[in-house]
Amino acid sequence: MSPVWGRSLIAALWVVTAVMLQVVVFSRLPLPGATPDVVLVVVAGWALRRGSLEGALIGFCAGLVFDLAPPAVGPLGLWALVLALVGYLVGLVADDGQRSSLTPLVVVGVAGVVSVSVYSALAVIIGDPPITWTDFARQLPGQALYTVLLALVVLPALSSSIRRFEPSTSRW
Amino acid sequence: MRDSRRARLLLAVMLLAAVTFVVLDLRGGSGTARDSGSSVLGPVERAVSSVTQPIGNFFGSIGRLRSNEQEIADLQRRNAELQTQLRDLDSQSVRAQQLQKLLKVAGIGQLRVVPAQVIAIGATQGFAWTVTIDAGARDGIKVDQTVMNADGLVGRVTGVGRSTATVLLSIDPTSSVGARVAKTRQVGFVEGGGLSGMSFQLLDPLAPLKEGDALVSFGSRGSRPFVPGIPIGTVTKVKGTAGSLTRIATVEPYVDYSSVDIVGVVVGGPARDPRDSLLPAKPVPAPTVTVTVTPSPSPSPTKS
Repeated sequence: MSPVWGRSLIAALWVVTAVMLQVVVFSRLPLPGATPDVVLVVVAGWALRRGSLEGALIGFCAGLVFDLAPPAVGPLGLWALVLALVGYLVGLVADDGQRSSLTPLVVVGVAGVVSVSVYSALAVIIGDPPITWTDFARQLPGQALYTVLLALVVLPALSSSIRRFEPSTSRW
Repeated sequence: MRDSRRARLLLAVMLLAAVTFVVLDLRGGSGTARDSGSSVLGPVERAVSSVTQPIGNFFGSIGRLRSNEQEIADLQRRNAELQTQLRDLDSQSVRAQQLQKLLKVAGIGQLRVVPAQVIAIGATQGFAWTVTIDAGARDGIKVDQTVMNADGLVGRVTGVGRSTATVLLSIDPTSSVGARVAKTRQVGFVEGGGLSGMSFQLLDPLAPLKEGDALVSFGSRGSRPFVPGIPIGTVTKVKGTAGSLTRIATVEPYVDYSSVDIVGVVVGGPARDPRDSLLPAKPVPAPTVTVTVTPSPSPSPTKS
């Protein structure tokens, strides 16, 4: 199996797993504040590892799957837009090189906040789903915290699964 | 950098696609896409859910457990509060009732009373039947004033502090109260007997006395220590026949001394003897219902 196909398969697996976990498990946890956004963590993690191109791509796909997964009611494509953007931006940061062990966590946490903010802003602009300022403000701290906590678990697993199909030269 | 340009191009394409999706969706054209999404992802979700549901339930129940515990604690606290309030309310309403009755009786007798509450009861081991009330010299209470409640005579004041006073109950063995039989106006003494209640001794051994006679206080000179006309009790048993040297009757006091709470100290005696007006009204006997049953021949058994 060529590295590209292998990596695509891995990426698809991660995306579907993340969306399923998100919809079936995490949404149901009685956690205060926000719901842990595992889809975002996977997208950001992938982008950190593989750059903005793959980041944008996986973000778009994951967002689209997330938009289509049954309980979703928001406008179709909105999460695809947001996550593609987030994947691209995180990928830009990753391209800069220079990583400490802490940087990925910070980047993913910031990505979590940015994704919620952008999604909320777009939702407000197009008026669907209805989001109030208090909802949004209440969600931010929890979102940042849970994203970082999830990243602690997800990022290592993601890295090791990518490494299996990593070509010597980074090309898509 | 080639990769970066490609990435930017890709991003632009995908953003455009996403916006297109959004616009299409907002125009209402996403039905089929969503339906197919549901039909593909729905079963997957069901499968995943069937695996993770127990886990989710577990975590869910942990969350609920905590909130349940908190709620139970809250409810218990509120329950305790309400019960305390209820008990308070009960005793308050009983007190209000007693006070109202006392004032009514005092009004009938034209007595000026200072209401007070029993705050301490002397130990029975001291063989003195005394209570402390929460009214004293500053309320105008002096030694040898009559203490009553709505039911009748409680005792007399034997000691006065600034804000408290000591009352010697009428059932104290050292207490002796001049009394009068309400109907016959015969005079005698009611003496306390401690736990065994009170006894009444007529001055005139030949005077008629029978069970059920009501006794009221005779009244002392200057209404101290006892104002006239305060109900004391009823005669329950007469010992000795008419003409015997001593005729002693046991008396059932109107006042329940073991539960005296709201009392009134009579600080101003009546302008005139209220006579029997303070006595409790005789209970009207309830009409007895007589049921006559006429035996009728029962049908003879048909089967043996």
